Amino acid sequence: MPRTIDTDVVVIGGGAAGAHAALKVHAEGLKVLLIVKGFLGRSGCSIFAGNLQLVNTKVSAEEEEKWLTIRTKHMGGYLLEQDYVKRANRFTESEFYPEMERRGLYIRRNAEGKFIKSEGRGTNVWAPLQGYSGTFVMELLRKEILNKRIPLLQETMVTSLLLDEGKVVGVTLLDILRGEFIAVRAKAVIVATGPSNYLATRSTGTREQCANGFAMAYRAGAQMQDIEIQWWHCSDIAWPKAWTRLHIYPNPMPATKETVRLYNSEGEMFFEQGMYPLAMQPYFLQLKHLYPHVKRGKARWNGGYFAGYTHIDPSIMEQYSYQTQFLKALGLDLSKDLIECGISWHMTLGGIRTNTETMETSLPGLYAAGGVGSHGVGTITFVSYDGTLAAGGACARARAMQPPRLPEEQIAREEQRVMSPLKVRSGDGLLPAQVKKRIREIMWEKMGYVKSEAKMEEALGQLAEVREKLVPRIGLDSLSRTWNYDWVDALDVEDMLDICELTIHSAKVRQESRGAFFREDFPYIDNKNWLRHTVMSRDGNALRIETVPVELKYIRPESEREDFLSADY
Amino acid sequence: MTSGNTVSAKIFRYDPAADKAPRYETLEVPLEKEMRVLDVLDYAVENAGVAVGYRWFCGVKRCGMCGVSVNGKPVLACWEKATPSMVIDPLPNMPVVRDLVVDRSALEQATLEMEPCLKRKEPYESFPEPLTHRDFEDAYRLMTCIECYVCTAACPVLSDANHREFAGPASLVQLAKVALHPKDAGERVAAALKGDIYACISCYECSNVCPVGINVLEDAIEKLKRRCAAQSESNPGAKHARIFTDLIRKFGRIHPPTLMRQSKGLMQSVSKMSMALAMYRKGKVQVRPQTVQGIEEVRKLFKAVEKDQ
Ligand SMILES: Cc1cc2nc3c(=O)[nH]c(=O)nc-3n(C[C@H](O)[C@H](O)[C@H](O)COP(=O)(O)OP(=O)(O)OC[C@H]3O[C@@H](n4cnc5c(N)ncnc54)[C@H](O)[C@@H]3O)c2cc1C
Ligand code: SF4
Ligand code: SF4
Ligand code: FES
Repeated sequence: MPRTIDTDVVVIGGGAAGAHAALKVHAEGLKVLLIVKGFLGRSGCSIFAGNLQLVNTKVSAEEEEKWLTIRTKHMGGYLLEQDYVKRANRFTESEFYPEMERRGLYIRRNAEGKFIKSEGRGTNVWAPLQGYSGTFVMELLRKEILNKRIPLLQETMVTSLLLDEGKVVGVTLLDILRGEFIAVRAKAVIVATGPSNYLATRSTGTREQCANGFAMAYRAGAQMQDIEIQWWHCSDIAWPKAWTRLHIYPNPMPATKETVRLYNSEGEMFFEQGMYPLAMQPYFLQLKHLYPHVKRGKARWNGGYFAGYTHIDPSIMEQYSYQTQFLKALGLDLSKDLIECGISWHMTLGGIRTNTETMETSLPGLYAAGGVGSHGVGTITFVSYDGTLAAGGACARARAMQPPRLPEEQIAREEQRVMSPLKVRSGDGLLPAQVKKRIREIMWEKMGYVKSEAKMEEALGQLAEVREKLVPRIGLDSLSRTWNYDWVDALDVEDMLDICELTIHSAKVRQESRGAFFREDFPYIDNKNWLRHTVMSRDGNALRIETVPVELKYIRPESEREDFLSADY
Repeated sequence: MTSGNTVSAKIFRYDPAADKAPRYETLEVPLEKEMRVLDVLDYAVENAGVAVGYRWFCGVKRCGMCGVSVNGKPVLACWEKATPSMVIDPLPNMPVVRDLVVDRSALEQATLEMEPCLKRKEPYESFPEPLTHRDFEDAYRLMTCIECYVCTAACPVLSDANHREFAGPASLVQLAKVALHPKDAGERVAAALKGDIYACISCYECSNVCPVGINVLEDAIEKLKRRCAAQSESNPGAKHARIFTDLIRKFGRIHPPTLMRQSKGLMQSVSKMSMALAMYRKGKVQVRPQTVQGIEEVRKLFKAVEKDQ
């Protein structure tokens, strides 16, 4: 048996969801262990959040309905649970902002003390510099957790969930720094590993976002929901490659007439916010407008089209110092130059299926919060709500339980699996990172924004080829156990292959288009048959896919069937 | 063998657990448009199959984890532009874990000992609290610090074995962030003194390298020193601070040799001579203090500030 650690609740992931969960379990007086593959508040997507929405649904019923519509229709394609959206909005205004301000969050004000907001809809605020909010939110959460000496393991990857009689009773982990395999016993586990958004060549995720959370939950038997619905960012910078995550829209100035405009390779403008004043985050709509230009060869998905601020007074951009510093470093003059853009694989709308009141999954003892969950519009304030809810559910469970028994046989099997990549590559061997790159290329080329049955079949074929031909060639450079990231990459390869295939299977089932999900062979929104969730689970070694209806409690689409490309959501 | 369209990168490789000594691995990488140092490292692993270890997460100056040293200068790999010929080393002033990956835990511990969390004078009431941008201006200048420790890597005092107790600029910035928050009432002077703030010789190296453009010395460290001086005149460091201000008033810049001589006494400055010499060689200090251009402006500023007080 490897070394074991005992705790009440394990939290996996150090983004806004995991941080909120850990703080809440600690505040409830239970023992928590926070495990982060990267670093608390430095890795994962939470640091990227640029805009914070200052919702105030308390002022009127109309305001509440407006926000419900923005989130449910324009961000969720009607697949979100509407009561959850209302509750999360309320959490944002009554808990998130006060708690963050108490910790020291400064939201940009003017000399008179008024918040500086995006004009027009007047709801976006920034802390402290426009485009930088998530980094600052995470800094405050991280410092509070460190200051409270909450048990924390960083650069430590959770590799599997431990099960005893169908209940989750702990996790196994790999300490990346020392190369040690450890088992953790816990009464409840909260998975908060964030979006799985490092799966295509151009992706918004950070290096560790390789679907570990999805993979461990699926293997343990949890249900997955709507994982085919993939958001894409439409205007991330095209080069340098390192800066892919520099988002030129909607940061800054979302939903105003100053919002960035998009141009094709011939300089014709094809998108400006005035076309859809109601859509706060019109990623989906931008993509629909980009599509015909790509078809006509006037843009490519990874470049050849442009974003520009030439329609606004250059002094306005000076305030947006985060974004502007990058553009200046490239020598761009924003009063006349355009910025070359590409699309990138962003967050999944779905994820591990949960009950939205407790964040409990279909597996007893497992809770899912944030980007890895199934109900997300993914904003940093919403994932914070999830973390808080999951902690509540996990604490209630942990209090009512005796320490569970650890499944020794499963631990031994998992140890063997985790150790298996420790072999040196041969002459024609490949580093695992090279295979990861190939998988991301396949997903980019065949599972991009425009999907079809034929392309998905090709993707499955190519992924099978990776399994057959490339995976056996994987080897490491050295067997050293000290910070051997190739070893981590090798474990990621397995998770990526499994989850990429599941995503494709799930996408094949949904025979319609919706939100960011576009099937060229079914180019219509089918509200008659497809206001449904896809639900997948493991049945032995087979895959079971069902669909269940979405509950539409307050708002619903007007027509049964709409042309996808011309619909405004 | 560098042509115009390749990058020749000499990369530090070392696994203390397995290798007897560090070595360099050189590789040629095709130069891409606006390529960053991070792109070169990605290429090394993903295309060339060279298993170099390096940390990165965001690629856009937010996570603060990709610090390396390029041709001797501490930088962020994601921000720094690749040049045709580069020697890439791990950040100095921290132990190497493997290749370009360093162990920051001692520095992070120093930051934690500063208790860098807001301690409010009055209990927090409700959102939004009354505050103007003016109240926040000083703290605001430091807010974009991403704790990358690049400034700490560049600090000459930390490479001096006599100053192991110096917390270093990055940790002091974390302290200044909360100390300058208008609602803070923490014991910040005690923390600054515990972090040996007066070991700082005001050389501006931290300000010069900060990849997010924070003037670390003036906007964080000097502000803390001033607060220390005001609260504890008996402290030897406070004397140093006064001399510092006098020097700026006279010459418009600080002059480390004079500062050391006057504030610490001859014996102590002699013990620091090797460092001073190294700085001198790099052109950081002149033997005789020189007056900056526009000294009248500096003196006017002093007058204005002193009148305010
Ligand atoms: C480019 C970009 C821009 C965005 N802009 C905005 C915006 O403007 N406004 C907004 O509100 N939201 C925005 N978002 C969305 C929002 O930031 C994220 O969706 C949200 O913060 C996700 O939080 P999370 O806690 O669920 O996950 P993350 O913050 O992604 O954290 C996941 C954590 O899990 C860890 N982890 C992963 N695998 C493992 C494992 N196997 N073992 C242990 N730990 C693991 C990671 O290291 C990380 O710490 C943006 C996202 C991106 C990517
Ligand atoms: S100014 Fe002070 S803290 Fe900054 S590098 Fe010089 S000695 Fe170090
Ligand atoms: S002050 Fe600058 S260099 Fe120093 S830690 Fe902060 S961001 Fe990095
Ligand atoms: S990769 Fe995050 S700061 Fe460079």
